[in-house]
Amino acid sequence: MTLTAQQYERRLRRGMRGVPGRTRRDLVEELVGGYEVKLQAASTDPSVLAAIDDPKRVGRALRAVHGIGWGWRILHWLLAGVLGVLSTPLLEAWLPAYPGTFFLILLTVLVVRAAALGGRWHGLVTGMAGAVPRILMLFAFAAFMDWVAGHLGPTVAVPEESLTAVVITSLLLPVVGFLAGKRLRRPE
Amino acid sequence: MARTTDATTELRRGALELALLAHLARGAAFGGGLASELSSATDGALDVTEGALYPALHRLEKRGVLGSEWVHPEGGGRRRRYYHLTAAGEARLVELTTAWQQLAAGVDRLLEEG
Repeated sequence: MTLTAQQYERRLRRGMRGVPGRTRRDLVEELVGGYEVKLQAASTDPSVLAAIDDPKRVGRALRAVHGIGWGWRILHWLLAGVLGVLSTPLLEAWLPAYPGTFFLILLTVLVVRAAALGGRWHGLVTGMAGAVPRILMLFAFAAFMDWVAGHLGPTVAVPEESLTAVVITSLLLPVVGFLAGKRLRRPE
Repeated sequence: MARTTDATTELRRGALELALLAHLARGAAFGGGLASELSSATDGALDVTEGALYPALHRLEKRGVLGSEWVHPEGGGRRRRYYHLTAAGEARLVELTTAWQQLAAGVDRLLEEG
């Protein structure tokens, strides 16, 4: 099915989501201009349309070359930070139904997604943006528990294994981001 | 299997880079027309899709091997981006041509012996 220039542009933009504004505008103008020329040529030689790929796929390939903008990067880091805090499992000590694991899964998905969009270094930094608040929250919570125990009497004990598990899963996040970026965002 | 696919991709990418540089050495070209020009210049041996062509052009431009400029068509309409070879691109073309000729000669020799 032959796409109209407008349909082509829409799919191309969808594939390039995250690419910085100016770069994206230039790319759209370049590729849609090229597509319009091919559409005109196709009226006499339909074979010219054989070289047309799915514009969404082309957009993704171009995003792999140009990367994503700072706005998206900062958004990923902020979201990772929030999810890092929310995924601290020690909160479950107070709230048994607290979905700490769910937030950790969300955080991991975000790190992988960020790596796929922005590359391995962005994946690594997003992983760190999730890991650092997670570890800080862990130590803050443990210190708070110690303080409560010292002033108000016995409270929820924080097992040593839990601390180790949180630190290990946190440290794995940047590694996952780096490896995912290396694997998923390769030029086509 | 994955290794074979990687090797094929690498080979195609190398051939595309050389073909683009060789074609652009003849003069600047508009990205929208390059795929068909390459196909007809190689008698259909190098059928390049947009998904390979545009990322390759942009990667080469980022590496400084190609340059580009926007041109307004005389009859109006959208601007067009024309790609041209830079000095670094000319040097890269010489380097790739030598490597390609050596490789092709070696493989040809091997095939003739076989």
